[in-house]
Amino acid sequence: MLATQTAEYSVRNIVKSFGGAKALAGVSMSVSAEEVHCLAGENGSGKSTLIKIMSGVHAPDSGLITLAGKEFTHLSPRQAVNEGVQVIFQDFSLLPNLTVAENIALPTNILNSSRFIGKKETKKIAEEALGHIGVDIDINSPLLETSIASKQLIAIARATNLGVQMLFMDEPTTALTRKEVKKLFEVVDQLRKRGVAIVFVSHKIDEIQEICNTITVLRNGEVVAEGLMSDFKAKEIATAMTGSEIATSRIAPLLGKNPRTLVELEKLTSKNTFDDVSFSISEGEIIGLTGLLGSGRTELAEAIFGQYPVDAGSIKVDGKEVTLNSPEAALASGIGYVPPDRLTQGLFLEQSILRNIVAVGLDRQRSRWGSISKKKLAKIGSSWISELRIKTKNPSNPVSSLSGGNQQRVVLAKWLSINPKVMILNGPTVGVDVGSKREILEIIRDRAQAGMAFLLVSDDIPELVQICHKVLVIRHGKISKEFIDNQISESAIYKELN
Amino acid sequence: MSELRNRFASSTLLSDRKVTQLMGFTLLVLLIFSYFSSDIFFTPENFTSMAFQIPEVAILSIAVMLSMLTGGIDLSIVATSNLAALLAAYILTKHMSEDGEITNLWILMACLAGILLGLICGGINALLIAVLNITPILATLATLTLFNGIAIGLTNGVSISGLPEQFARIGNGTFFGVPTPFVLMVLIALLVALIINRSSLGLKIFLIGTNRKAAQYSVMGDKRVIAWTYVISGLLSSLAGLIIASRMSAASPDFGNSYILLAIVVVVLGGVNPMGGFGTVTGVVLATIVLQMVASGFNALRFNQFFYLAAQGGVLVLVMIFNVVLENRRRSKSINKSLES
Repeated sequence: MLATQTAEYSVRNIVKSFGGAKALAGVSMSVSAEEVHCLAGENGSGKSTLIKIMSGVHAPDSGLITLAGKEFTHLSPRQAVNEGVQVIFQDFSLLPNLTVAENIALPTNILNSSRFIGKKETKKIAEEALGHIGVDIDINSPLLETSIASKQLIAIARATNLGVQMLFMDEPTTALTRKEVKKLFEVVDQLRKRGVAIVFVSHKIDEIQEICNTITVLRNGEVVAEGLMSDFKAKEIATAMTGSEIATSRIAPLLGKNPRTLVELEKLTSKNTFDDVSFSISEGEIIGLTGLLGSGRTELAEAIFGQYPVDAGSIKVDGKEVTLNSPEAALASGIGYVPPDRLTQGLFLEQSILRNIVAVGLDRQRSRWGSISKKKLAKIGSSWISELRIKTKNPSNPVSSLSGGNQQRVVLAKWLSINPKVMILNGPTVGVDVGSKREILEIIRDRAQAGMAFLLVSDDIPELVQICHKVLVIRHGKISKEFIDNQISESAIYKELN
Repeated sequence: MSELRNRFASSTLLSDRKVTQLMGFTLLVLLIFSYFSSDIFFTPENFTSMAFQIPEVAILSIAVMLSMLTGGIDLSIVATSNLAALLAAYILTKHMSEDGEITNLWILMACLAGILLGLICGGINALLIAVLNITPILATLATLTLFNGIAIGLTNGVSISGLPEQFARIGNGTFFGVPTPFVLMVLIALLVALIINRSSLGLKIFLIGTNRKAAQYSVMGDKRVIAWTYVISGLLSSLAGLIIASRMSAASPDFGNSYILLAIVVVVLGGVNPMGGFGTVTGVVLATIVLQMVASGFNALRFNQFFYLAAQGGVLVLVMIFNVVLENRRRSKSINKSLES
């Protein structure tokens, strides 16, 4: 099933644009069998686009894909699978309601076009696959009950079953403990020895150095460094990833003298999610909150917005203790929240830009008779469109017609329009282009200067370094470290995270 | 699911265009019937009789439309309207003298009681759907059976007829030559249009129907808004029930069961997105008129009445095909455009 000869898998001069924004500007990369290749880069550098092009999700605008001697201008997902390209995404794309065995065997059965699937057959396929990579997991247990580390291994087993020749692993160690990482690396190494070309996507430099033989670093859709892993020092990789000019520039807005404390968390606890969290946010302050997937950062943010249950501890707003058990209560206390998923939580995609902007503040626009003037709404909408420089010809167009960056500004406008005292932003620059990102950070800084307080929840370390007064790192539900002003640096935060 | 929603959304996005389409369709139906049988179809009598029949269906359809805009549905409309009509009829017959005379005050009281009952029925739906989070189609299927069962149980399945003359005059009278029910329908349609287009409740209904989750994160009291749509739906159903009772001079526990499906057909025909978020009152009223004209034209052309239902379904299928074809053409055009640029 597995490849035996030393084959080459490469892309040449791949260009890919999404609606004007260049995601990849002529990227070339080559990986050979029996090699673990590191694909490094920050969020938005083009890593995922490249993976999607090699696995047949996106067609490149131009460029050539070569898989073991066969040349393609673009691939269909089916072709990619037939050529042995497999991707393990961060969420593993497994089916939680099925058993481990079914999860492993299902794609094989689909590929073989089997109409009827026997239980015995399924178990045999699963046992074989797990045996291949030398791991022991109870194949009869439901996937729901397995750990994240096991899920990772199950996803690998599934891939080997499909005749994997080239395996992409997208940040596979994100939620693993050090011991689990060790086990994962053993499996990866075994796969490599058996002739699989592995692309390891990560920005954890120590892990990259441990497992990878070669490296390609992407930044803003271009290859900024490549070569043998042994030729690179840790610092060089970090510099290549971030680009030194951004890494140093901290431009947090000035804080007033003795700013008023707006929100104070005291020993806030929610069973199994976060524990004993205390911090406060003052007027004009931007506090960063970061942590790995599953660290409890989103739950903590949503608890302050009244969307997640709290078991113990207290929240004070303006010095008064409040019970934030619903978003309504949070809003009444002057707390706003921009959720992490813009498309499903933030926007009414098919509705107009205008309606999206006024969605939170509707009740404040009611006249004495309870009616709402369309003129007034249009005025509010267009004032925010120009204030946040949302690029659109017509505010009545559906918000789905906008680019990611502009959509995110609409979500921001929706909340800024009611002028909350404290804004919680969860991943406000995910999936927006570099220019928009800069402008969104500028908007946050301007508002903070005007006195609004921010809790910025983000994966994007450079962005936290750029504008935060204080950065909190959360780990397994506890604040593990607090960086203030001059202590805030990318390397320090990365170190604390890993 | 979201793919489907997108399709529907973009096809109903320009609701004005939808209304224009329906206007065109109405005209087309008119032309066809005038060509074939102008002597029967194009008579004042025929139009008057249509104007008496349209309002009940239109009001019930507007009720269904409200819940559908939030992505739900109300199947209990007819059961509610019958229950309200029966209560009113009971009060009317109770307080009527031997020779059918009744005071205006009792007529008013009977109507108010019916309306109150409609609000209670809507309130029960609201409780089940908005507070207890039961799927609307199941919740209202249950209440449909419950309300219907109560109506049959209390009346032993027998209708209450012989309502007082003064009451019957409302549903059969005219107002400056226009049938009173039609006038009432226009008033109700205007009022609902005003609510959904010019109030924060209305805008919230559209937003919640588009994305409930985003509505929750936008703190617009989604449960309260959804509750209101079912309460208003109950109110409208009871009004329809009173109009029917007045026109028929009777109330029956099993009247107009086919109206449930008819109302849904009308609402979808009228351009309301079945997934929620888009739709207009004008569209729904026009759709009712189109269907009624098809029915009348059928009559005028002396077609086999037993095929009427098939004709109605055929119209629906044609309109759906028309929508999809138009939408596909529009989409490929916009794709070509974006490829060129």
